[in-house]
Amino acid sequence: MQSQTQTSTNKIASYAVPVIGIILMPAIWIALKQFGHISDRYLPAPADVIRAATEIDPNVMVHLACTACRLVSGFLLGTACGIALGIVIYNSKFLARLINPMLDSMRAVPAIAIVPFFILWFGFSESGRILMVVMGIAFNIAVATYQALKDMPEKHKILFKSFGISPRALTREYVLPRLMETLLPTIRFSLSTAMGVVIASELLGSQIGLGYLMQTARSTFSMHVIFLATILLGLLNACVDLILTRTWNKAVYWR
Amino acid sequence: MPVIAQTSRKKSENITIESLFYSYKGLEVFRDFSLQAQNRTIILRGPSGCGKTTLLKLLSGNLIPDKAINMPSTENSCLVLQEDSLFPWLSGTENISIFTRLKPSQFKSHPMYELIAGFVDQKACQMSYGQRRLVELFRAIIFRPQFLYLDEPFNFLDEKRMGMVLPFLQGEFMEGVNLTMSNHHRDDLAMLDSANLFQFDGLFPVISIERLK
Repeated sequence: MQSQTQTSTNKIASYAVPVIGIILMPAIWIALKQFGHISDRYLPAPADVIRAATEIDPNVMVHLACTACRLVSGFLLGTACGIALGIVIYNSKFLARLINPMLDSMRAVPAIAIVPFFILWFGFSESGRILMVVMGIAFNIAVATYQALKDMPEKHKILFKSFGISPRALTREYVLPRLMETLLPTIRFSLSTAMGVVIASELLGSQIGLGYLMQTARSTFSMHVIFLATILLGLLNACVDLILTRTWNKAVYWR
Repeated sequence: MPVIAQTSRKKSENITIESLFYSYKGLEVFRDFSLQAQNRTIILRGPSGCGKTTLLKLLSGNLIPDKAINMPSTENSCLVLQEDSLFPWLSGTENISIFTRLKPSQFKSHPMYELIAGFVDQKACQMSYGQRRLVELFRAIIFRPQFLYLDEPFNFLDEKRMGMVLPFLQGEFMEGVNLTMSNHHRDDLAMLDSANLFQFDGLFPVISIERLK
């Protein structure tokens, strides 16, 4: 009986704590605004931010949806390309030698630094924007993929040697499941990199999207719109990340 | 009785090790170690930490000796570790057929298959340690390498299960196979036919006096 109350208390706590965490930031914001007498130029009132959500034309949700589309498509494509490239260089020693130095120098270039190139090459087209995200994350994922496969557990090395089989022959049976076990942290990190590239590309040139919204709001000193866009960005990232980790952990059912 | 054989091969010699040197991270594990087996089945005995696993890894070519005058060939050698190494995302059957390159229909007739038939189609992650161990032993036994090295093969197996596995580690099932097993329980292997057994007790803990200083 007592342990039952214990578990139900734990259950409540496990839901309540995140909720408190979510409420905390807005609460500090409201409190600062209420008692801190900070001017609207530096910290907009929550009511203004909510009003902005209904006043922007096209609706802020359209901007959000555009950014989300760019983010998700670029992220998925970049992840797939990165993993494929990593497997290819793992499978060929020659390609590994050929490509690795280039890969190492390419991934040292900050993702945002490639935005100007892409604007010159592709203008403001959507495909250019998505390619930008792909470039921004694929190299890092490729390196992580290659490394994860190279750092195989000793028991697997012995197993492959014992039966005279190469792991390279078992892409579906070994390589992909093994990557599922190891790559999630890299891929979550890539998600925020991808978000950075999408926003940077929207800031520098686009007609729609949260980055565009921030850029125009900056030129009209509309601090409340910038706040709104930032909050939506945070929520978008949190949602995509949650879906990613949930699906991933379901896919790695054997853990 | 059908016994799966890979290829017919000529009878190989008993295992001989002569003057083996091996150290790991500055710790001398083997210094001028020699072993002359009188039989094709070897049991390595000794307390934990005396280098049984290291010796098996050296014999199977998974570690390279610093120096040795004579070591058995590492070709065609198969080492089964204590640690479970089935892929948890595959079924037992898939784990067997991928590595042995045999179709299920080819190994279902093996007499040992009875021991695993009840659970071998489950994913390895759904099996118990003992079940996974049986699948691993089955896989190595039907693979019939020239040198089979089993590191503590009966960990996770109760006495009854062990008794059921032992017949497959001798006689016709091990024909053409040099079998080497490590074992820290003295009585475990009493059921094996001792006439064809070479028991080796010459391994000692490697922590030397210099190390302890």
